[in-house]
Amino acid sequence: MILVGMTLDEITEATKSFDLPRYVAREIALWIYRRGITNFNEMTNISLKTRQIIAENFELGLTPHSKEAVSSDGTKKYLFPAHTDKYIETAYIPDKNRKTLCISTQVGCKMGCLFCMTAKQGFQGQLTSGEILNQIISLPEKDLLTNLVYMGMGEPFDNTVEVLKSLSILTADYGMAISHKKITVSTIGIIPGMRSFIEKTQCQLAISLHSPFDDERVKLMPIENIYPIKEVVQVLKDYAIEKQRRISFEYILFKGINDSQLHINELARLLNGLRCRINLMRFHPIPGTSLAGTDEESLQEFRNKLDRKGIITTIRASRGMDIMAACGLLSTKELQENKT
Amino acid sequence: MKFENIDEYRQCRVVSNIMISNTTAVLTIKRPFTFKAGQCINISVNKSIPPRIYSISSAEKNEYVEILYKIVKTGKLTPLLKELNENSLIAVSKPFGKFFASPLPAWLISSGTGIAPFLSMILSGYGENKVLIHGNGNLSDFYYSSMLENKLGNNYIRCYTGSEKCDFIRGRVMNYLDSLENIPIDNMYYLCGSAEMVVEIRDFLINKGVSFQNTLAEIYF
Repeated sequence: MILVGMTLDEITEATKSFDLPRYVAREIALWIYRRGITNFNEMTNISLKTRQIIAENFELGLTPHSKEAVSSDGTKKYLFPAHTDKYIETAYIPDKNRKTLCISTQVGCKMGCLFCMTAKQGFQGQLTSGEILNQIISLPEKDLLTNLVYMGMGEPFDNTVEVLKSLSILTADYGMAISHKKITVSTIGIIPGMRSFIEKTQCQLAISLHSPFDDERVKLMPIENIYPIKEVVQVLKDYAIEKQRRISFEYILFKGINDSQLHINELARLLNGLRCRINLMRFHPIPGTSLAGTDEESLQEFRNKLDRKGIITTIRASRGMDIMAACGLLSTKELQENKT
Repeated sequence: MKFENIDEYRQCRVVSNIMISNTTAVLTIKRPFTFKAGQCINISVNKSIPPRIYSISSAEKNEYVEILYKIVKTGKLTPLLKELNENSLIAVSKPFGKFFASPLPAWLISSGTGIAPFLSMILSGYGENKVLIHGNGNLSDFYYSSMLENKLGNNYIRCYTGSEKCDFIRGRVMNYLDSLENIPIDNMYYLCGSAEMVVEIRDFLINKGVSFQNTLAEIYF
């Protein structure tokens, strides 16, 4: 039985049948999640006999990364093996005192967004909560981390149960005890999963917006057919979620497509009444795309105009450009190399 | 993700639940709402199973609503759907989605049960100016072939990847498209199926000069 990814209740249940002392489950959780052991023998406040029972019946379930790419700006991309012959990407992004880890929730993705490299891999499997947490626990820089973002491969709310479980462990006092404020989950707006997330966690939420016009957004993001952005925003307003935590909207600027004054006006209309911010992103080109990023001057102008509309707008710095910054590029390359 | 917003669902009795191929069944209920061809509904059988989204495959004006579902042995919902009998109760959401048919010339490209919204469109009278391309690995999964042949004639194209003898196009939909001399770049292209199939074909079309603005995708998840 694999321990990483189990909640305290699950560890308690799993250890019951071995007649272990009641305190052992909590100690195991603390050793795994808080102290980051790689071997059961490191659990020195548990008796040798108990450790032997644990070692005979459980495994930690940690998997080291198989490859890494290091950018000149300090960003590191790690590939972790997941399922057979597949990989997930995890990006470590240091920036002064802030050390952010961008983690994946699925192998590949089903959502088919036009601008996304991960979409081109198709969907290859769900990650368990253990595989999600492994990206943190097995990270060489794990002790330096200040922020976690669920913005890597996959759509978190297409794997809601495992994502919520991982969040629960990350924020629990028996787990990693990370503040809710330091964890952001990014979604394209799958409403049922988003509702569960709002109701069951206090973590921060980011929504991939990319166009306020439904007939345009649907061409970029097929999910608009099912969960229109207007309904997504209405759900956020109904929950009044912004009073408890920060909401941000991610907006990649595509030249000549979603960067006009009309878009600024419609964004202001769509987000009216919701305390939030827009995070503008530069497009990281992917092979074979007909899309191009908005030029730097227009990007700044777009930001200024949104600011003047009263919407707090930031521009996300592009990182790791020399190590295939777009999410999914590195793992796709690895997949292709393995096939040949 | 449990059975949420129960108030928005209504209980419907199953009229029939019939296997139409080795792995696919068609579930029929009396139509409880109006809908537009191309829309979806959420279906569940009880509160402990998260609902799943299915495209409606029947005509807008039909007295009954039908969905196609592939039985996934390891799935949570479809093995239960398979056991439903006449008069069993299921919970059905309001219809939703904007994968609407267009009166303009269009190619409707699908694989497997991804044909469902296109069946609804064609049965609802939107078949004119349409080319329907359907890919499958099993001959029995070319659902409603006779009706589609009658309605679309040569504009109904089956791409078969299996090994049995047949007169259909051999190989994947992608290979068929690649073999064509001309892809009309001003047409609309509707794509429905797995993410992998949709993304691959959309990329191919864009590479051939079709604007991404002329593609509309529905992805199963």
